[in-house]
Amino acid sequence: MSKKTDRGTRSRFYDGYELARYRKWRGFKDSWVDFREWLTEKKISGELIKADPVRAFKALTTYHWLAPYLGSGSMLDRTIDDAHGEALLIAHKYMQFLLKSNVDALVKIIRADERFGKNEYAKKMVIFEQDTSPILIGGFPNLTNAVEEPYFGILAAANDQHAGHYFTDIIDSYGLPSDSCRNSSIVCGVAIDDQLPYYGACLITSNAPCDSSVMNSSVVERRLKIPSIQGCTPMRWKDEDTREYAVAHVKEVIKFIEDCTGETFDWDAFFKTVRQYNEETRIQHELWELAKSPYYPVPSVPNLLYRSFQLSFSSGLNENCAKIGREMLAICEKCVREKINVRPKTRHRTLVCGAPASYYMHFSTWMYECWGVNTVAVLNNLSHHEYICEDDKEEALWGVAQLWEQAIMRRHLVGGYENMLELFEEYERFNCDMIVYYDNITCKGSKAITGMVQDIANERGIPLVWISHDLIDPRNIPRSEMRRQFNDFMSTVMNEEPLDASLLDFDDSKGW
Amino acid sequence: MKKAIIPVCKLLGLLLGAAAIVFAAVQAVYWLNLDNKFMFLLHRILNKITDRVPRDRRF
Ligand code: SF4
Repeated sequence: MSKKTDRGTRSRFYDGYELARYRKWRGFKDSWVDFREWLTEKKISGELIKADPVRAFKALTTYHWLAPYLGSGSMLDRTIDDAHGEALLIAHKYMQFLLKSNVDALVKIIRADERFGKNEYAKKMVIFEQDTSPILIGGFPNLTNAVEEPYFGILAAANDQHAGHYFTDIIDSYGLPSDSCRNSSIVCGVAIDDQLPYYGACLITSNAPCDSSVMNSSVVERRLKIPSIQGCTPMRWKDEDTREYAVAHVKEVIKFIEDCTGETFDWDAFFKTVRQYNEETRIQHELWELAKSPYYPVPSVPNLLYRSFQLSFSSGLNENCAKIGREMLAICEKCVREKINVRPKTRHRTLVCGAPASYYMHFSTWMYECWGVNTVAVLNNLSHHEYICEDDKEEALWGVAQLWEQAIMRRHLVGGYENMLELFEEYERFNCDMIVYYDNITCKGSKAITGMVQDIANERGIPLVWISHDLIDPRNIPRSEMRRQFNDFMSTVMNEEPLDASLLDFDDSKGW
Repeated sequence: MKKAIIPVCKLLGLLLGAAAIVFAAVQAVYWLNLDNKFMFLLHRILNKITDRVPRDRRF
């Protein structure tokens, strides 16, 4: 690492690295909050080792995808760098919840991994592909769910921007297409390199119409050697004619899990999970109402991650999800009611669309600090927002089918133009004045519609900027290039000056 | 007897208090300056180790 240089706000960081030499001083009160919450975060992280130190050590020295999680503290700092006051507390609480959930999930996987010895948990786990909500597992109280793909790719790269290279290079050298979405490349690479943990009674894959389900499912299935079924629900969920088929297929998945595990579906337990899911959804609706206000305090990254987690990982299964949601709701209500402005740099309110770059999860934080562009809503997070029926079995299964049909990415990236164009309604609903569209260069579904989106934005006079990126691989489009695209747009189209010119251009290509 | 216990308790209290302050100070210094660097180093070491684990790419 090179020595310090005088580069304004960036002088705190080592040249070329997203690694700070010392922590940001936020004033006494906020720094105390930061320190106090950091202690809690250290305690949570320690649980990864504490739960089973021997297995944890073996896992850390076996799996290449696990080490990036040592960067979670730094990732947390990066994503909440723009927060102070109530926003800082909210950001910490949200991120602690995510940290705890991720640590718990990793502990579950490590504990069940038969690579490190036979155990009683391995066959009690049902693996769900990331686009397939695990809500059905609520009906199997003796089983537990695992969603593992994000830990190999999206979340690992959020902690360390270079986490995915190792695995993308493997699939390239194996002769698989190198232009496939990095989300799938990474999981394929993990499977080819024999780095999938060995556990699970069965696997529920998804039929999302993109590389991610098509390519990685088949490779993962071949490596895991456990029975699998595709959570095969129609794309055209608005069409009532598809309903019968969708419900029949959810029943087939339940039967499949019963056959693989010898367990029986418990409707009472399932409806309890559904009620919990509905509570999470209700909280989310209230948060969206508050997000219309200029006093909404939640910083962009925790906002994005919490909702993604709620839909794809919790779906009523994680009791803490609603608990933390209620706590956050109370703080947000206070800020809006008392007109407390904790996002004072806001010059623009933006809706963010498309898949954000995992290796630059804190791009929104940078947009706010450098240009005063505050992300108030994320289109992907507005996916499934209906309540699921709490007392009728057929209706409830229809709800599950819809939850799968409208999973994150499925609805707004590859779900057909009608769904993707919802972005203009959401733009109005959240009182935005610009749109940031993350253009993942390997996401063919969303790429197909870029011209149409740009035409509509031009017609309506909506400022819209495309930020190209390569999802998990910064070698093609590094973070600095993403910043350049945004800087060019802000200075030429919006004709504005940055709030902090020291953040316009810097090198953070090397570490974390 | 009682008279002898009180100063010992006081001394113990003082020692404990001082230890807590030192512990908090060390934690604060670690938080302020060292945490992420230490983790970064550990991450690199683990990468070096996992790079060398033999893998079976046939399946
Ligand atoms: S970013 Fe696009 S291609 Fe990649 S997993 Fe998501 S929807 Fe599929």
